[in-house]
Amino acid sequence: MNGPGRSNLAAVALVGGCAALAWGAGLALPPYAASLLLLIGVNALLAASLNLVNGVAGQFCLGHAGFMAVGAYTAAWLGAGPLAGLFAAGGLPLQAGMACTAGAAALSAGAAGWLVGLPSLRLKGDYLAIVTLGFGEIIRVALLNSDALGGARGFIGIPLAGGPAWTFGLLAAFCLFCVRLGGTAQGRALLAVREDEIAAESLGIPATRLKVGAFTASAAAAGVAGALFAHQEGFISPDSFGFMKSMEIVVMVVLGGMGSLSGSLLAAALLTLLPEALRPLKQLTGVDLRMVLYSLALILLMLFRPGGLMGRGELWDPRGRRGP
Amino acid sequence: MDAPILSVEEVTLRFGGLAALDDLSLTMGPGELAGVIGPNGAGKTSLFNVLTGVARPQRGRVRALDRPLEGLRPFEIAALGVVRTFQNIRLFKDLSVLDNVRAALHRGAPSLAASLAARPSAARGEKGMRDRALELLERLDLGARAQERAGSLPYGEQKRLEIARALACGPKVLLLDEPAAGMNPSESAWLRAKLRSLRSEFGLSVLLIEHDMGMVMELCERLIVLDHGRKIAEGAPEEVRRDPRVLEAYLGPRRRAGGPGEAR
Repeated sequence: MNGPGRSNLAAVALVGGCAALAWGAGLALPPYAASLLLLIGVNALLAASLNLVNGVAGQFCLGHAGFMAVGAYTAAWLGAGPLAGLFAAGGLPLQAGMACTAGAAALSAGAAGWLVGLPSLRLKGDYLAIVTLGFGEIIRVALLNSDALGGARGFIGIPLAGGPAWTFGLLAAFCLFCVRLGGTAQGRALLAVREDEIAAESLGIPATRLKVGAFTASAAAAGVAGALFAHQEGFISPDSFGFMKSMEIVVMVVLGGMGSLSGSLLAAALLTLLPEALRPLKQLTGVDLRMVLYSLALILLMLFRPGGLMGRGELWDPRGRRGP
Repeated sequence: MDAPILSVEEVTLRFGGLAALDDLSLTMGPGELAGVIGPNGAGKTSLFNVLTGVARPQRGRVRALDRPLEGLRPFEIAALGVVRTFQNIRLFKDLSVLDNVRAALHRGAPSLAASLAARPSAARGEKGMRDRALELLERLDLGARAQERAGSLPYGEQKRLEIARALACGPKVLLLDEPAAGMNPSESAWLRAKLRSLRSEFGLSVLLIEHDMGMVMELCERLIVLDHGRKIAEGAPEEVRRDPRVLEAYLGPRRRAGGPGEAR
C-alpha cells in the first residue's frame, strides 16, 4: 500500500481504537479500572506529545511536566473560578466549560512552550534539555509558593469532568495530527532537522522555525493532558508535576522507540499498568518490590530492545519509512 | 566578464589567533565552472562556510546574485540560490533516498494547513514534489534506489545523492566540496561528464573544491589556489600548474619538479 493510504488507515485505526477505549470506559467498569484507563489516556497524550519533540524533531525536552502543570493549573483556576457556574450547571454547559478549560490550557501551555523554545531552539545541541529542566523546576517552585493557587497544599475543588470521551477524543485528535504530519513536507523537514540540522539548513529548511513550531504544539498538547488530569482528579498539587513526572514521560518515549507514535502509546499504557499489576506482589512478599521490578523491566527492555519497543517503526509500518 | 554572480571581498575569518581566511577576494561569473585548490588546511571549506552563512567572517563582504549575504541565515542563503554539498557526507541517513531529495524541495511545499486538511492543491503539490524528486534521482542514476535508506547506499552513490539533493534546492550557484573524494576512476569520470551536462542544463555556476587534480584540470575553466587562507594564484589550469608559488605551497620551497598533480 502506498504511503498516504497507509497513514490514513493508521489514522482510522487510531481514532477507532480510542473510541473503543472510551466506549469501554463508559460501560460500568469498576471505579479503579475506570480511573486507571483515564490515567493511561492522559499519559498516552503526554508521551505522544513528547514524542513529537524528542522523537520526531530530535530535540531533548526534560521539562514536559512543567507544561502539563501550566495546563493543569490554568484549567483548575478557570474551572473553580470564572467558569465554576458552567460546571455547576452540568449537562451541555459543563461540556462547554470543559472545552473552554482544555482550550485555555492548550493556549497557555503552548505560549509557555513558545517562550521557552524561541531562545533555546535557536541554538544547536543540548541547550533545550538544560533550559526545559530549569523551566520545569521554576514552574514547580513558583506553584509551591503561590498562595492563590493553593501552594504546597495543592489546588482543591476542581470540577470533575474530562471523562473517557474527552480524554480519548483529544488523544485521538492529537494522534491524528501526528500521523498526518508525517505525510506533509513540514513533517519530513522536521525529520531532516533531526537527522542533520546543518545539512537541513543548508538546503533551505528553516530549522529554528520548524523546531519552535513542533515544540509549541507539543507543549500545548501536554497542557491539554494537564487539564484532563486536573478535571479527572479534582485535586492537583505541585508534587504531581515534578522532575520525576518529566522523567516518566521521557522513559515512555524512549521505551516505545524515539519517533514512533504507536510505540509511545504502547509504552504509556505499559508503564501505567506495570506498577499497578505489581501491586499484589506486595501482599505476597510483605516488601514493596514494585520499584525494583519496574527498574528491572526497564533495564531488560533496553538491553534486548535498545531502540525501544517499536524502534522508529509503527504498528502499521514496522520498517518506519514514514516517520511520525 | 559579466557582472559576477558571486563575489568575496577582503574577507577575513579568524578562529582565535588562526586566520582561516585572510583578506581573501574572489569573484565568479555566471555559468562559470571554477575550482578551488590548495593544501589541507588552506581554508577551502572555510570559504564555503562563509559563502553559505555557516561561519560569519570578522571582516569583508560577500555578495551573491546581486545581494549582500551579511546577516542572512543559512536557509535564507540556500533559498537565494547558493547551495552546497559537504566534504564529509551529510545525508539524512535514516530517511529514504526519495525523502532526502523531497526534504530539499521544502521551499515549494504546500502549507501545513493545506496538507493537514488534505486539500486537493496540497495533494497536487505533493505529487509535483515527488515527481520532481524522482526526476532528479533519475538524472543522477539513482532512480532505482528511491525507496532505500540513504545511509545504506555505497559511498559513491551517497555522494551522488548529495548532488541530487542540492539540485533540488534550485541552486544558481552550486558549491561542491570534494565531490569525487573516495570515488573510483570510473565513477570520477562519470561525475565529470555529469557535472558538465548538469551545469548547462540547470544554468549553474559551479565552484568546486577538489583534490583530484585530473578532474580539476580537465573540468575547471579557472582555478583559485589558496594557502593559509590567502589566494596565492588564480588563472587557467595550465598557468596555475606552472606557477612557482603554487608549487611551493604544495611541495615546499626549493623543489621545482612536478606540480600539484604530482603532489598527491
